[in-house]
Amino acid sequence: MNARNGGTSLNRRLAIAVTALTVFLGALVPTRSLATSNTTAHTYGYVYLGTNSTVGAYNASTYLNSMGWQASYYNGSYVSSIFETAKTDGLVMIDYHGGPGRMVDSLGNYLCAQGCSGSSYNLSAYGTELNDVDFFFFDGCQTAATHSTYGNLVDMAISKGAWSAMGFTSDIDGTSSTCNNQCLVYGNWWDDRFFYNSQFYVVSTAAIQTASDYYAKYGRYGGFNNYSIKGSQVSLKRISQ
Amino acid sequence: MRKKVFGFAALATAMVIAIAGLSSNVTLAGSTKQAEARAGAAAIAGERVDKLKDLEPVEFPRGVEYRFKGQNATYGMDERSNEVTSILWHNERGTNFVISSDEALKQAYKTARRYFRQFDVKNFELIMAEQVDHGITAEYHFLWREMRDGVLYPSYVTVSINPETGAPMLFSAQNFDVADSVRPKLTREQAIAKAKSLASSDTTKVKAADFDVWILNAQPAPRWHVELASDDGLKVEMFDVNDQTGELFPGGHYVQKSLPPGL
Repeated sequence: MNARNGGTSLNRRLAIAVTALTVFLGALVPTRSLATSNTTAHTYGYVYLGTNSTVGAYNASTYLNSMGWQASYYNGSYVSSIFETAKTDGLVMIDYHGGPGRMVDSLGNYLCAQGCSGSSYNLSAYGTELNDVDFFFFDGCQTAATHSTYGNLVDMAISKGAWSAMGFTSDIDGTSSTCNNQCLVYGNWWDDRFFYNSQFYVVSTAAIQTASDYYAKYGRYGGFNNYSIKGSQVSLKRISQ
Repeated sequence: MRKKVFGFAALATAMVIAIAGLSSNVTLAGSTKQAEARAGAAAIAGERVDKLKDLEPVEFPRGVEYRFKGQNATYGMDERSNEVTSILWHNERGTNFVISSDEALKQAYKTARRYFRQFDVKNFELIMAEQVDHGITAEYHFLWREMRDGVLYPSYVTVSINPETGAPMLFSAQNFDVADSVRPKLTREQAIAKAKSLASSDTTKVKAADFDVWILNAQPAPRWHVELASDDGLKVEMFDVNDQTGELFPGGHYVQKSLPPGL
């Protein structure tokens, strides 16, 4: 009898512990299907320094619209404009050349995490203006890597209120600026597949699937297996399909 | 005159019927294959066929892969062989490396053998084994490629393992038979010379020049992948050189999305 009571008590304690652990782990890795009302999205591509990212960024906006966003695509926008527009965005995708802590526009001006001067812009200058950004995607080389002066774009976006941010810790493949009618290859192909896959999965699952798809397509990862997502797990779907 | 008009109308009608018939046969063939693939995926998933959601088929160089989303995973089925070529488990995510890399490798072997019949038939070499922290997720990642006489062939299998539980997160494989052994026609130096002849003046350092056999339009495509970098390593240009012709594959000159030197 005592043993049975002891067993019941133990079971109850075990159940409480498991529940507490589940709640704790759930809090550690929150998953959210975008609850904010901000459906404004901007995607940016350009033809610059050997790369044509226009098709990838354009296709991203098409998929986003089908997922319930009011997405607009811009070709060759300057960082000054991107910096201002991001304050009222729910989603930002910048498909430009990048490096640790910064991305560059076609004027040679930077969007940096911090430490840039002159005509460049620092995410660190934001107060809490990125609070409405559900997903900030820095789609360039090493945009999730840290620079001793310019900091880390992904981390800074999160610290300024973005719910989730993504970049890459290594270099990634672009698409040739002379791609002509073959622009849906390499980097643009990855962009297209990532946003296609995002219709069905949360972003981290879309990212691992797309890296795998890239290998099946090209026989190499092209750096796309080195994605880094900080903040919270999100789904980009805003409407059921 | 009336007879001629009637004759023309009859011919046109017959052509429309023939084209429509041909078209429906093509559609039927496609849907039949997709239905077979769906049945195959359902058997692997242990789910009812009608519970699988059709995703858009993916066109890979080897051919079409049909995709079906089930309750717990998404399955990719090869159009040619109707074998499973990819499985993406939906809810397998871990952030901490709890299990050892040896245990993860053991689980990866188990997954590869379970889903890829060719794994113990051909000679697969483990060419990538890494543990990657993606921020909100992490993985142990393993990649095997078929290797013969030091040359990589198109068949491969890759498995990602949840670092907390040891469960598979992703499996992807392809079996592509290349009957004859392939020896490169171009030397490494010739492939590099081709790349350099097309490169910008500031990318002269050879970062990589590797030969393998990949696939183009469902045919074996021996290729050289050459990467040329600027002196400071910031700018990298890439070239996929067709080993058979010495020319670039379509779209085979591209750059990484990195900051160029001087910026």
